[in-house]
Amino acid sequence: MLGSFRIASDVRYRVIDDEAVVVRQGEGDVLVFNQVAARVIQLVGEGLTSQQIGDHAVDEFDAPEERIREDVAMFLEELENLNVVERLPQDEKNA
Amino acid sequence: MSTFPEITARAWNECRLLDAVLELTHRCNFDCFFCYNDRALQTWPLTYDEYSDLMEQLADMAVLNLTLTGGEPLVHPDFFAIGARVRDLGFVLRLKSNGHLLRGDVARRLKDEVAPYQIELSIHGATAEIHDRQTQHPGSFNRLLKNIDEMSRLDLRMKLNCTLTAWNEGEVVEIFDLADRLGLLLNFNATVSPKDNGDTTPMSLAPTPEGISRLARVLGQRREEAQRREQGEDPLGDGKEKRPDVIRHCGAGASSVTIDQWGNVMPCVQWRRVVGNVREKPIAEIWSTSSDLEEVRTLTVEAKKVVPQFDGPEDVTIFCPGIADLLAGDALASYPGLPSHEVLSSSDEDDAVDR
Repeated sequence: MLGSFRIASDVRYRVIDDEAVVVRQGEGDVLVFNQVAARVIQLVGEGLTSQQIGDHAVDEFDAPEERIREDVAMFLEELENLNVVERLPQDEKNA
Repeated sequence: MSTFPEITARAWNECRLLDAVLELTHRCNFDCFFCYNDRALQTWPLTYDEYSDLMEQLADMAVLNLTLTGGEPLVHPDFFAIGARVRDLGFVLRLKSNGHLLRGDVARRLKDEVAPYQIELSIHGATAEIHDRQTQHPGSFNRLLKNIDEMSRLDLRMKLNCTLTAWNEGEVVEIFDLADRLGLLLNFNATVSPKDNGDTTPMSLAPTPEGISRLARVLGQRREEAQRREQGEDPLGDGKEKRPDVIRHCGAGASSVTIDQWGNVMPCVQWRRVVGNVREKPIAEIWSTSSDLEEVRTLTVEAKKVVPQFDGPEDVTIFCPGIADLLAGDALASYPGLPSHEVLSSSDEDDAVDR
């Protein structure tokens, strides 16, 4: 799980009661994500790399490490597909 | 996992601040007859630094929606700096404007520097005659249409807001037709408010019971048509009907708050009971400790129970506890200018016969 992401420029979000409310301004819609995805979005917003996000998640959630890292990678991919996060330019070259 | 309507319902019920309205200024380039702002009020307005600090506090409270309004917010000298700060702090920004300045460089800068979610434009009629009569600014209707066209080309999302009045109530269908031609959502507000100081002069323009019933009928027809077409509404819009199990008449002071240009905190733009000032206490402290705000929250629960005897037909909210508080001294009482449910019902029947 390599690479770094950032919140897409037209996305606004807040974590409310452990869920992430994500507004895609371009599409004009609202998405709600669960606790783990909310934390991933929050950590992307704080500028952490995928590796660092995985490390945080392992510390914070009570599940086998391998499973958590897989979930984080899956969420990041899903968020990228939804245009909620975007890969940083350096990583686009490496992808 | 919750849906967004469930989250907003929880915000209403559990008093979580989700929406903040900042009244940047009471100054305006128009002079609408029914404007509720008391322009005689003059004290030292919040500075940019004070706004910036306030907005950081609101972001820390996980406030999602932030509305900049006025007066006309674009005439505030720091509008673009404040707007850019709203963007940088990750709020979903709504801008309420009369649209007159939104062209050329101003529209472009709004897109590039502020990036609002939505611009809510005031429209007062389907024709220049009615619209310009309200704004008291000849040419404002035609310029609004031109500016909407220009902003459409910039991909700025817009929505129209119209206050139903005795002057425009005969044009409801035409105003909807205009909004449809422009490809914009249209929201009607059937409440004409008194001025902030209690002066009821603007309420002389309040719509008639017949006008309110006609609006309700048109809204009902359009709702059915939209359902048939499975046409979406503003996903972040008011949409009270989508909110499951709300215990309050409105979100005033429960999920939303209004802060004026002097830092006064109020439950709503229409409920102007000052519950604190952000120059004296952090907004989070006001939100969690104000006894006045607690009373307002109790009243909005009570209002939900008493409102059916006052309120309008389905789809049209007329009763406002804030106006009742101002005019009757009791947030749960009827007030001058509020048509009774019986009058509205009989007017609806008269209309049905006329059809």
